[in-house]
Amino acid sequence: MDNDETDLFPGWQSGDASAFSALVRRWQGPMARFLFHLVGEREVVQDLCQEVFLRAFLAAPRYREKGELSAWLYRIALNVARDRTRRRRLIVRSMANCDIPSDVSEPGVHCEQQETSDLVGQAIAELPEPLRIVLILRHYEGVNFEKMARLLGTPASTLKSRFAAALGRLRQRLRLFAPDNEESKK
Amino acid sequence: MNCTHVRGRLSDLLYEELSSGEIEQVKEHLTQCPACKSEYDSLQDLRRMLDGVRAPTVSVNTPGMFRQALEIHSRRARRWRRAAVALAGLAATVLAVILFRLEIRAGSNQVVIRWGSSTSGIETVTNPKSEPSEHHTAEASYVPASEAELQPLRGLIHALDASMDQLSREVENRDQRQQHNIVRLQEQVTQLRVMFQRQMATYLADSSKKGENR
Repeated sequence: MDNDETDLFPGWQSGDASAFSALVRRWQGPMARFLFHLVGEREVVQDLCQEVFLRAFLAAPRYREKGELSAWLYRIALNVARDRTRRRRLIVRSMANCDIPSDVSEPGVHCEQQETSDLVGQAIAELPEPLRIVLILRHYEGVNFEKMARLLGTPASTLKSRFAAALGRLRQRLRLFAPDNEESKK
Repeated sequence: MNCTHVRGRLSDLLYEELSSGEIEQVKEHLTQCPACKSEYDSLQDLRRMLDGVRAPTVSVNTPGMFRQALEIHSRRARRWRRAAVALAGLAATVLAVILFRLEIRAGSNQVVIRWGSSTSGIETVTNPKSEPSEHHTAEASYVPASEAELQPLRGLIHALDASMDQLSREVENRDQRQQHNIVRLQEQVTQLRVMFQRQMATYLADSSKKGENR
């Protein structure tokens, strides 16, 4: 756990609004990233993030400090994402849905990058949940397998296998959309 | 290291999870094996593609969240209050049914509410379905208690009476014992006073004799 979080800990747990706001500022980025890759929908991330911190605030008095604040928050985010998936089936984003900001000088290049990003995001969202979670935590959040094992209650060796399987599936799925890769193989 | 061994470690190499010795061994294999090198390159490409996915930036509305939390708290409190009131009402109803031997019966076009025993107490009969002209408003009748019902009360009164008698007898006995003790104490005091007077007289007599001798 970061020093900042240790300092904030007594405050935010006892309902200190400023301490909790600092915690939100520290964790809203990682939570947004985690939720986005988990649900694959850009539009709902703000609401889901809000829900994560609301649940954390309400559950704060029950939180027992063991230096696993990040694991606790990821677990809440995972539950929020699962609840949402239960409520509504995952919507596969349309490739045609490409927003071009007005200040972009090269809209074609931007759109192409956005398209590739969307395809990769879609491929991640289509992975089975156990593989998807491991991939996101390892690649995007940089969580090591030991910490992940504590977070998910699954042996680290199993998580390692899942990670390798997730990379394998993504490679198969994205091979068509990686022209550089195809060229390098030729 | 053979190809199978190396391929199992390519993702570890990519995410820097190998020891320095293992890194050397795997990298050496990659320089000699084009197939494994191609596999590793494709993994590197995949990693770059994954890095290219941009997550949206969010800004959590903390004041809004605190308001929401407050609403949830007050909703929960209201729910608890309602539950407590409902529970208290239920308990009071159960208590009333037990204490007053309440009986509610819905019969043919009639709702009968009765409390007390079947032969005594007040009975209310309403007929909600009948025409207004035939409507029976609250009808009450009083039937005096029977001898059999009064019997337990009489028994109770007799028992109370008997225990009062016993209590007063005990108090009387205790008073007598105390009076006897007081009389005994008075006798002892009288005896002590007599003894004291005798000893004083003896002492005075001895003292006067000694004075005369001197």
